[in-house]
Amino acid sequence: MITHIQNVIRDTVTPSWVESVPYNFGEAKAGKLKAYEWRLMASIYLPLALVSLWGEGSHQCSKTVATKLRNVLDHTMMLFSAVYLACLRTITEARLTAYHHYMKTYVEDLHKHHPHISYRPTHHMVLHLYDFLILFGPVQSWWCFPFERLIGMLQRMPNNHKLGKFNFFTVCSAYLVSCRAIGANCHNFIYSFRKT
Amino acid sequence: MKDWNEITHVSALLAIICAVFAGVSRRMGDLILGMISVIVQLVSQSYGNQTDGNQTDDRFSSHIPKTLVTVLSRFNLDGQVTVYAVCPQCHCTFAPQKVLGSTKYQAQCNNEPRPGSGICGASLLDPSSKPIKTFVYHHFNDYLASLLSRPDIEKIMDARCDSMKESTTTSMAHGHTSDPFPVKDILAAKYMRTFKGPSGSTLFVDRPDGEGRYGFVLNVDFYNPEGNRGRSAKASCGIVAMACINLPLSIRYRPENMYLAGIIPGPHEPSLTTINHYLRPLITDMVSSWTKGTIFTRTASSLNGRMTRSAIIAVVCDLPAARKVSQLAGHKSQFCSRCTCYHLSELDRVDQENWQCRDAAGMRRQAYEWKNALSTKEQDNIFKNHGVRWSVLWELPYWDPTCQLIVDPMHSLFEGVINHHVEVVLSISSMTASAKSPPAFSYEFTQYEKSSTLSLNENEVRQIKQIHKLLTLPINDPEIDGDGDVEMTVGADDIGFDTHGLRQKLRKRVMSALEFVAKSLDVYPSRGSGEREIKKNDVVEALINWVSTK
Repeated sequence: MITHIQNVIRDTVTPSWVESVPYNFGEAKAGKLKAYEWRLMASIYLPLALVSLWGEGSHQCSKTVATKLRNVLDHTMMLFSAVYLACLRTITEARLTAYHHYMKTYVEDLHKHHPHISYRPTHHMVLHLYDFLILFGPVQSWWCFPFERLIGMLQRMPNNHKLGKFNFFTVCSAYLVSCRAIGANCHNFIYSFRKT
Repeated sequence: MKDWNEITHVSALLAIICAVFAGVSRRMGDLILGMISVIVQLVSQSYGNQTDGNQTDDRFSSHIPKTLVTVLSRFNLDGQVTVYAVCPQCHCTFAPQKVLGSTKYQAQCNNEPRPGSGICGASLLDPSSKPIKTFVYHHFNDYLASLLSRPDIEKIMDARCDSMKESTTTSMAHGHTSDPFPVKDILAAKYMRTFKGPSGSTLFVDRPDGEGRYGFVLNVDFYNPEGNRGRSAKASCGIVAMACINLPLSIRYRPENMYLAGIIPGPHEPSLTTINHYLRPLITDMVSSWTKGTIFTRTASSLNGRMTRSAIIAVVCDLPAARKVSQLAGHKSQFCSRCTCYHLSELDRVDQENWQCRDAAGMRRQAYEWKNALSTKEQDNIFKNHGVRWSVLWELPYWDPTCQLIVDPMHSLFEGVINHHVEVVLSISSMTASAKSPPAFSYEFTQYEKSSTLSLNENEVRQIKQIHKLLTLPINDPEIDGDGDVEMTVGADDIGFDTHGLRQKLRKRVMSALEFVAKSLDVYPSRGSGEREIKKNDVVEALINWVSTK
């Protein structure tokens, strides 16, 4: 099963702007997946892999297993569809209701298909996402990705590894200085410098 | 910079490029500048000797700045910052006092962390009278001024405000009070359409006399400054950052347009209410910007200055940081900041129509009660009953955690539900699959309830659940494989578990739990083998027999 998913990841042809996920997905060596990689898994690779494994035309040893797996697949796809809808750049009424329907059914049926799973706070919070989608519009304006990128920038800045000492002054001001230099009207000069 | 000649300009530019792009440190920057001035001096000396005789000429070299800091401030690149001294014990921040031109800090912390606990009294300064721990705050107004000084940016920020206001008024005129879909941006969404300005009667985006109205999203997040590699040092410091929603998405998150207010120093995350001290400088600026407004003496479009008002529209954090910033009870107990779903037992509720929104006005009252409480006990009582503590965000007159404290989709969807579904529910991923295999079949076990005739302790109740899990695990015995129809193929290649293994594991459980499970399955042996009393082994064998019939 894991090999099948790995094959799908390896063999799928994706546009060049789609970043890759680890080919050895599922092995300890691949490490923990980043949020963005989970998004790719849920939107591209896992649907392809799981549908071909459990969906129509797949071979199972008996009918009961086939129906059972089909139900698990439908349930999983419910989640993937909800996530796809939530991340769209434009929000319409139809998409909102669809998101709510999929997410609600997903959370509701979790115990039906997987009785050994206990609920987590996130299962409650994702239902609230519906309210926030109405209040604040598309998620791009209020998710944490840009701030996590900012953290990445700060982590890469040189520092003296003395925590809580003066390094924050330098990190802070180094960040400030580089941002201001870019922000001032020397855009073109600096971007050309970066490319060369 | 009028007094600078070409040599000074070029050497200053070199120093800046080294600092900005090559990441050269201050000391190295000073060295570069020093070397340039030496070279210039030497050059002018050797040429001066040939032309003028003995006279040394340091006209050029004397103008070259000595330190990187001077260059950065001459180019106006250093930004306006205040270095706060932080109490190493209670995280309280202290602003520097200007005494006769030099900055000084008070020597001891005089903060009272909890009512009645007495003054902290920790020393703030090291022997050389520098602060032991510092927090650098980049002034919000300085950041906003840098945005407003760029003509293109200022125009965009105001234009987006106006276009939104127009669309709201036209939709109001047509009688659409609800949100006109499709929504493409946060400015067009419902919250901004109803967010009232400081006057309370008009919308925030409705700008009287061309006032600037700017909205921001605030983020607080903790990270490891030493990188995320497994073996690197463990530490945690936090960022306080904001992004301006008046900017369109395409440029909003460029690093030069984002605002980094400060870095909460490590090595440990501030606990409980202490994070308030780090947020206070920013919130104080935001409060005065909201109530009094901030006047910039000059911006790109208006040379005579203009009035601006800014607001924090939303707070975007992951769950733990969100609870810290808002000072609400942690997500592991009273988990929801939006509705009254209270206890972990309500986690599986999906009847969203019946969820009650928490009462923001009540929460505000409780937060102030907490702040003004006279004793630690009183504070604890308020927290216990309402799950609210004082957060500095309550100083914002418009703060409403039920709406503005956002559930972050990145953490809750991708790193939360999807991660959980793939790794735990489906067990795809050999990392977890080796530890836990998915159940081979599902069975409605009788759960233990308090009212049952047996009274079991917590450990036994937990073990009952574990036994249920063990019993439903797939078994890979050669003799069962033949008729193992019910076995699911999920993770079938990761199973290293046979009847013997199951027997071993079941034997490790306590007798009372095994007895309960066996009785509930109606397979409890009537008597032990060989007329003995019933032993653990007999129960285990009975359970295994039950499994093999499945």
